[in-house]
This record gives sequence, C-alpha cells and structure tokens, in this order.
Amino acid sequence: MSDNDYLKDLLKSQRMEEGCDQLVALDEERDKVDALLREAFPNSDPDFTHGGSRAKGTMIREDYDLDEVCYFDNDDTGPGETLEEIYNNVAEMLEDEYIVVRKRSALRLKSKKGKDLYVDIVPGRYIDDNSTDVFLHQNEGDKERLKTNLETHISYVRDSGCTDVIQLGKLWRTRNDILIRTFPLELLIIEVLSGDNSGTLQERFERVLTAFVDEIDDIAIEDPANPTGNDLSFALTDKLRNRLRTVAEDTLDTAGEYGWEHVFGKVEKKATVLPRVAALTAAAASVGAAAPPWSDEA
Amino acid sequence: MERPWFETNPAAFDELRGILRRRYPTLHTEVADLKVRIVGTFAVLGDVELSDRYSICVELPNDYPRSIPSVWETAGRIERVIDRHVFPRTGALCVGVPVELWVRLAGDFGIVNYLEKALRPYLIGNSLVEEGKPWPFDESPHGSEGVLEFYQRFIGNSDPAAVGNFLIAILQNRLRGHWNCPCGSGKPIRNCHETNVRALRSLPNFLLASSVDHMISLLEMQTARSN
Repeated sequence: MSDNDYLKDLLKSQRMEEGCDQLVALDEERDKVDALLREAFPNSDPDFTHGGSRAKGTMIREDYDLDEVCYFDNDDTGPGETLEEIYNNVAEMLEDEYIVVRKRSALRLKSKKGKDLYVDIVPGRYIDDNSTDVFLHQNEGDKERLKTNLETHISYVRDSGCTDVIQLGKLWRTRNDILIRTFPLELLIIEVLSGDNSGTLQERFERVLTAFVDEIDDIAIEDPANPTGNDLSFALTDKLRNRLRTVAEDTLDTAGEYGWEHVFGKVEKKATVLPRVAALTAAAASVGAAAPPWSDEA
Repeated sequence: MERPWFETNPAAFDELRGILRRRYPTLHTEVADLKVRIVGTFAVLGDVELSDRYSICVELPNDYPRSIPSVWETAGRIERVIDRHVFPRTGALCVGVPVELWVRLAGDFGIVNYLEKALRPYLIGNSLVEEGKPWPFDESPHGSEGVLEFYQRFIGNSDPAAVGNFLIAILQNRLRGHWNCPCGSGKPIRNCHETNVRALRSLPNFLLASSVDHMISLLEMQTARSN
C-alpha cells in the first residue's frame, strides 16, 4: 500500500458515521441541554445548533467534541441584559445538572462525577435582527466581547477544499499532544494550502508540515468573520509555534525514514480490535513482573 | 556551571532522537532551562491505531541515562492523589520505589528501558483501574514503609534497624560474603541471598543513603508510637 493510500485509509477509519454510538451519546446530551435552556428561559427562542467540527465536516473519532451554539435574539433580555450575564446565567442554569468548566467563550460540560461529556455550549447574542453576526462574551483576554459569525466560520472551513488535510492535522495534533486549538489549526492549514492545494492527500499534508518547519513564524492567521477585531495571537504563541515546528520536523523525518504507517500506526479494523479491558489485561500479563508503584510525600 | 549532557555529548542526544523516531514517533524532545524533556503521547498497548494513549512529559536527569527520570501525565487523566501513586506536591508519577527501579532496570535509565519496564506497566495498571478493575501488579505502601517492604521482598528482612545497619555496612564497604544473610536463615550471604545482595552493592551511594534515611524515619515513628 502506498503512503497516500495508507493516509486515506487512516482517515476513513477516523470517520464518525451518523448513528454511531459516540454521536448518539452527544445528541442525547444536546437534547437534554436544549430542554434545560427552554425550561430556564421560557420566553426566549434561542438558535441552538451545531457549530464546530460536526458542522464543518472535520470531526474525527480520536478527537471529537460537540460545539453547540446558543444564540439569543438581539432584543431578548430573558437570559440576561449583558453578554456577561447571558454567559453566567446559562452557566449557572447548567450547573444544576453538570459540572461546568468556564472556557474563554464556551462552557464545557462534565457529568457530576467528573466525566468529560465532550460538549461545549457557546452562549451569545445576535448583534441585530438582520445579520447572522453575533457577540460572544470573553472570559479571558483584553476584550470583554467578541464579534463573530458561525456561518462564516463553517463555510470558510467546509468549503476550503482542505477538510481531509484538516482531519489529518487534527489527528497529528492529538497524537503528538500539541496544545493548539482547533480553529487556529484549521486557519493555519487553510492559509498554507491557499497558495497550492494540488496533489494527493500525502503531498498536501507534507506541504503543510514543511511550511510549519520553514515558515511558521511568518504565517499569519485571521478570523474570517472578523479579520481586524478578533486578535488570535493568544492562540498561536511563540512557544506553540516552536512546538509545531519541532514536531513537524520530527514527523517529516520519521515519515521519510520509515513511512507514514510508522508515524500513525496500523489502521485496525474494528472487528479485529480486542475489547479494551481484554487488551489491557493481556498487555499486563505480557509485561511480566513490574515494579510496584509507590508514593512518597517527599 | 557544568554543561548539560546533551551539549557535552551531542551524539548521545542525536541517538536519543533517533530512538524516538524509530520506536516512539509521537514522542519528541524539547530542550529548555538546560533540561531535555520528552513530550507527546505514549501508546500503552503498542503501536496500533486504537491504542490507549497517555499524554506524558518525561524530564531526563542531568546525568542521563544514569539516574531515574521524572515523569508527568499531562492531560489530567490521572488524579493527583497519593493513592493513585502520584506525588501530590509535584504531580510526578511514582512508578516505583527508586531503589527497586534501580535494581530492576540495572541502573540503565535509557529511554527505552524506562518507558518499557517502568512506565508502561504503571500506565496499563492505571487504565485497568479506570475500567473498574483491580491493579494488575503488586502495590507498595506509601513512603518509608514501601521502601522497607522492598527490602523485605528482596533480602527477607522487615526490621528497619537490621536493614539500616546492613545498608550502612554496604555504604562503608564493610560487608563480607561470609556474614550471615540478612534474611535470618543463618546461612552465609554467599550461600543465600547473594545475587540480591550483590545487586544492592551496585547501587549508587545516594540511593543507599536515602534508604537508610527511610529506615531511620521508621524507627523514629516506632519510638514515637511506643512513647
């Protein structure tokens, strides 16, 4: 199998089909949040819909979550007078049912037992009656509010012609524990390929990694929904750029020396995969006697 | 200030990077603050696509590969409590009693030896605990009692005073093969726990001294309890 065919197979194995267990679980949680919102704010009629990778077509099995935007009408004061009030009121409402982790603009949901549910809720308010632009409250950073547009984000990524490379990039990020958020990674990949998006999946992915090695300090990204008003520099620090460069260089060297299957590992067919506990038990038996773990306050 | 190992021995650093590319392609070196850290994900079930992966940071000591590295799980998956074998203060994982790790790995803390013989079993055990299963290996008690338990298993003596004196004899290079074995069998060491005692004699002095400190702590605790 060629490296390119391997990478295409890898992406296929990462695809999440509608109706799969993970998506059903996400949808159940989404419906629960929708019902809670409507009960808590009975006089409001928020748009509660998919944002993020599910809407963009870039979801992968190994690194997925559900971004649900919750946008209230411009003149709706039911959930709060200010953006901050909306953010806090939605968070407090959800805290009856979940552990809520307050992120920059989103609210991450965990079960009361602490299990991550992979669901982010993004409260916001339309800026007027005639456009799809919204204001989001920002919990961090210089500006307290951010103007953005979900439809612009979705179409920018979904129609970029780069969704396959973005999926591979997300898998590469996850496997190598690179702490870059999804949106800046998507923007970086689209920016690199905007000059030349020709060739196979392998060629295009290698083009992206090569640009990370050679040009990462010079690649600028901007929010397509708010190019001048949304400063993304916080999402692409010097430290992060260095990490992208180092890992991209290692990855290209490894792929050049051993091939792409060595980088990402074998693509396992679901039917051949042992249940997790059985696989772990077999692995424990195979390592033989281990040093007993210990702890010390020292 | 002494130059770090990766500057004085760049070939060893290149070799380390080559090992990572060959065996652990999702782990990468990072150099900062005169330290080498290995950062990325580690697949505990081997190199398959559906493997169980941990985000880790392994900080190599300045005398790599002669001392034990420190390791952290960086994604918040392992709760930072002593009962999960994590140092609460630093968050580093306690993969084993240091003296036992040294013996088991024969003092070779090269990255492959460390990841395969020390870290992998620990993480497999953690994954099974996450699944509600029991820890698949032995577990040591916390603190000094865990150190004493190692010596009980290794040389058959659970008296901290006797173990402490025995280790001091090793430290002072007074130990002889015709001495009675510390396990209490009445046989000479050379006819009893000779192999294990020889392994202890190969330990670096700081580890022996640290064990002696633990034995003293236990004796102090015993004295405090009896008062």
